[in-house]
Amino acid sequence: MEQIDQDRRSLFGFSTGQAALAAMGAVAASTAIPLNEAVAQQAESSTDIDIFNFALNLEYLETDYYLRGGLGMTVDEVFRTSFGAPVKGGRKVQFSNRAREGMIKNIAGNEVAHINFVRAITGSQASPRPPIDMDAGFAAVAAAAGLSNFDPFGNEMDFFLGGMLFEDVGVSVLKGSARKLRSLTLRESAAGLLGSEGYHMGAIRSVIYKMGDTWRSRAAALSEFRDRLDGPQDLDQPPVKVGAMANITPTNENGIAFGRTPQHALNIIYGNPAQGVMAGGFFPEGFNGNIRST
Amino acid sequence: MEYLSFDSTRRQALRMVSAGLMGAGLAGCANLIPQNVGLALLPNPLTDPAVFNFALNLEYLEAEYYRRGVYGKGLPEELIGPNPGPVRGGRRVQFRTPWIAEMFAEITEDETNHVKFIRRTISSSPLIEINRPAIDLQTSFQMLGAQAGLGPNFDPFADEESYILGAFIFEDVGVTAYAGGADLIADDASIEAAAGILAIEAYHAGAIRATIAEMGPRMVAAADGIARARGAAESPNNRRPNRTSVRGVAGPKEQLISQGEVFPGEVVISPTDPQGRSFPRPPQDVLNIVFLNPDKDAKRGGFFPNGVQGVVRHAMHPSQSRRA
Repeated sequence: MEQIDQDRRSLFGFSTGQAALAAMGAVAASTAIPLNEAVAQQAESSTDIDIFNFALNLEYLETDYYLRGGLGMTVDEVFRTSFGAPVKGGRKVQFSNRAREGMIKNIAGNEVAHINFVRAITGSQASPRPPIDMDAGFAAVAAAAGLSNFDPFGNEMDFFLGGMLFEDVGVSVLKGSARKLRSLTLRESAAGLLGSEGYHMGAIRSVIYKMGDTWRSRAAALSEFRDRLDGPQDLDQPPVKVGAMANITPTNENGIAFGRTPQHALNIIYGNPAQGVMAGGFFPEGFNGNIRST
Repeated sequence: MEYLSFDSTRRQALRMVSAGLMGAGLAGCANLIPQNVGLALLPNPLTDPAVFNFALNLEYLEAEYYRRGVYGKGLPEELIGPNPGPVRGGRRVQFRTPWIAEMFAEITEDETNHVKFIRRTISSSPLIEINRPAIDLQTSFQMLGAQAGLGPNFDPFADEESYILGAFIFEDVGVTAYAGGADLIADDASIEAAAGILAIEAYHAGAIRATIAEMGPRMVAAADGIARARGAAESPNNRRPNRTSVRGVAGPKEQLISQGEVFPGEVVISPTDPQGRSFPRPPQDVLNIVFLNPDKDAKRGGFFPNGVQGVVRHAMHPSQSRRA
């Protein structure tokens, strides 16, 4: 762990081993570090529906986060139906200008469309929304990351940070899932969702970077938090200055975004680095669907 | 082992079907196909390397734009092939804002790495054209600027704001091009690499849109003009009719920064289709935009005065694409 941390501080851990692997075309970095066999097999045997249902759980979290913060609304109000269990926490954020408020509204609009779309793909097999607790989730993150006064709904920039916390994860898990999808049509859909989430994160990370050291260092604490949870690989990257460059895009040395397994994404969402964990953090009763264990 | 798995076999079968659907396109490629070879024996021209070869053209364009703007010089000799086309225009930009200069330094590195990565990945594949195509960074921007309402002398290297607007032209297009390639790619490692590059182009494009939005209404209006001009260059044959009424003059696949569609007051940092996806563009639509010419038979122009490299340019146009 210490070794990894040192690498990361040099330049987010672009070790030669990783570089050589990346040169093969971002072949699953999983070969670099042995994964638990059972977990790997579970991921390999996931169906396309399983993968989209996994994404749907994340979309439930993201959608209500941006809707509540950007508009003071819930997804159930937008659709005039209930997608499942209640969502706790969140309220309208007071934004400093219309551009930032408008960006969050745009992201919320995209997320509403994602829910609609992913539920259409999964059809009668769509996972209902599990209980979500944003209050407990963010409180746990703030404590673990050592962030003082972290209040995503009370402060515009903390709201941007909160979005970064789990949507970077959405990008990495969609990227990691691309090769697992059997259907070419669904691959294209996943690519489209990945693109949209990438846009969101590019916008949010650029604003965090623009706002200077205070916010960059808070983002770095969140990145460090994610890195401690998602397995031994050094993957995560904060939007901080590296030499003469920004680090808005989390890339390897081929300019390619890194991928995460669903299990490692769950480690972050549940706030627990152990394997076999079924719930925690933002999801007190865990994800619904077949991919729900770290 | 990859090729023995059920999964890959199935994907290969799907690709054979798609090659069949594009039979008309293949038959039209007289210059590539010996007359005595039966269609059934032809290799599918849209191999994964061919798709990446197409993307390489866009990466060359982006890398040359950013390197010239940020460092005052283009790609080094070892990255442009033995017989590169010339690059016209481009010079070092005087940045006023440190964080913006730092953001562009990062984007420059990413795009340079994309060129390196794709060249290395495809260089030994058959039918690959690795040379940098001829690139125009001067009259292209003047043409586009005139159409976008920025005046006939638009020079993206003139100052920081203009440079941001120039970047806005490319990055959205790059995202849609990779999204359009996602279902053309068969190999698992290739799809993962393409998805990873797509994500980074989207981060860039989101950052550029957010930067423009925060700079205020004048910049937003200029960027919206560019999006309209891009939409006008897209082939009308491949527009989705159900979007026309909503997108209006911007064209169905473009979304202006000021053109949110779900909630009042949206500032569009993520242009999508109604499903919330970054929309895909098939190769010919991408070419129409970079050639600044909506003609479905356009072969060159705009940013690529001598056309682009690789077989994809011969293989598809809108009436033959799978999405038409």
